[in-house]
Amino acid sequence: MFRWLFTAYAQTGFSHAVRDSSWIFAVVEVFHLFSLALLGGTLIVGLLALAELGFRFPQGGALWRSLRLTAVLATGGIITTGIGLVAVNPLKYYWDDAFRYKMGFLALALIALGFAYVRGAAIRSLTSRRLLALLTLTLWLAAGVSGRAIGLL
Amino acid sequence: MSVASVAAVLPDLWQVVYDTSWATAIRESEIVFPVLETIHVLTLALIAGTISIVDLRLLGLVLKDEPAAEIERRIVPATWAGFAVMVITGALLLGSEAAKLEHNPAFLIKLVLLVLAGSNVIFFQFFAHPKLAGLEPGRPAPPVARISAGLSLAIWAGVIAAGRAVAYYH
Repeated sequence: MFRWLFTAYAQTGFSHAVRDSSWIFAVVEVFHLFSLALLGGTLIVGLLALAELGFRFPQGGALWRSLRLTAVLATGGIITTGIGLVAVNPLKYYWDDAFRYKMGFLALALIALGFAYVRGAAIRSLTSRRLLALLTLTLWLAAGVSGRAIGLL
Repeated sequence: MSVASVAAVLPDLWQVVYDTSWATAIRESEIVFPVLETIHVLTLALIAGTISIVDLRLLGLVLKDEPAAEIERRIVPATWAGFAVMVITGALLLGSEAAKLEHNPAFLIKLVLLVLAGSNVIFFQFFAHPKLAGLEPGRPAPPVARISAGLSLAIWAGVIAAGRAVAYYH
């Protein structure tokens, strides 16, 4: 469906630069991991608070708002560096099953995180909040495991 | 035992570990090694992430309305649990690749950085932690805590970078 997009991306100057460089991919990969780490920390704190496990959950989701900086930096970093990593061989990624799973899980994880961020505080039932926290964390873990599988399969 | 004699024995130890049956089994398995590696990488990201949140709070960049000591107290158990998983998976991965990692500069840098991270935790516990008790929400952390937090962020960024570089020196 998006083959044209990946084909066009492979013909960009940036994609050529990543392919021809011995260090650009490695540097982008490290920043991808930095973003992943920051996201991991943000999710642990934010979702534990949403589930009222250890953290209190201030009315109106003040804790989530306070984590906006790391949430935006981490999510933006993961997406930006992820697009950078794909540049090394866009069509290979296009045909990679693990990559497709990762994109699917990533899209669902972003929706779940967005919902938890925007609407989480308004959910009165603790059980529902805990289920939402568990679902969000599971989706991000699935995206992470699929991402790791790209390099292994 | 002198330093020279310890240094002479170390390469043999790497080889002995590398040749054990469990190390060979992990190395030759198509499933176990990648699964351990995936758990190790994800756990490292979670540990570095939770530590980063504490560090960023101490630097006054996030969770400013939450008491710093409370944030640290809540997050540290999760960090230690993750650390235990990371050490176990790391030890198993190290054993299976011991003979190859012995001369890997990125791996040696990662080990040094992990020692520095541990030293920074001890420094924080002795010099910064006592000053956090009673610190009101919204108040900046004392300079010694902010210095330790800045060092922590830099060291863990280094651990991640060195950890990833291990594969490039294989």
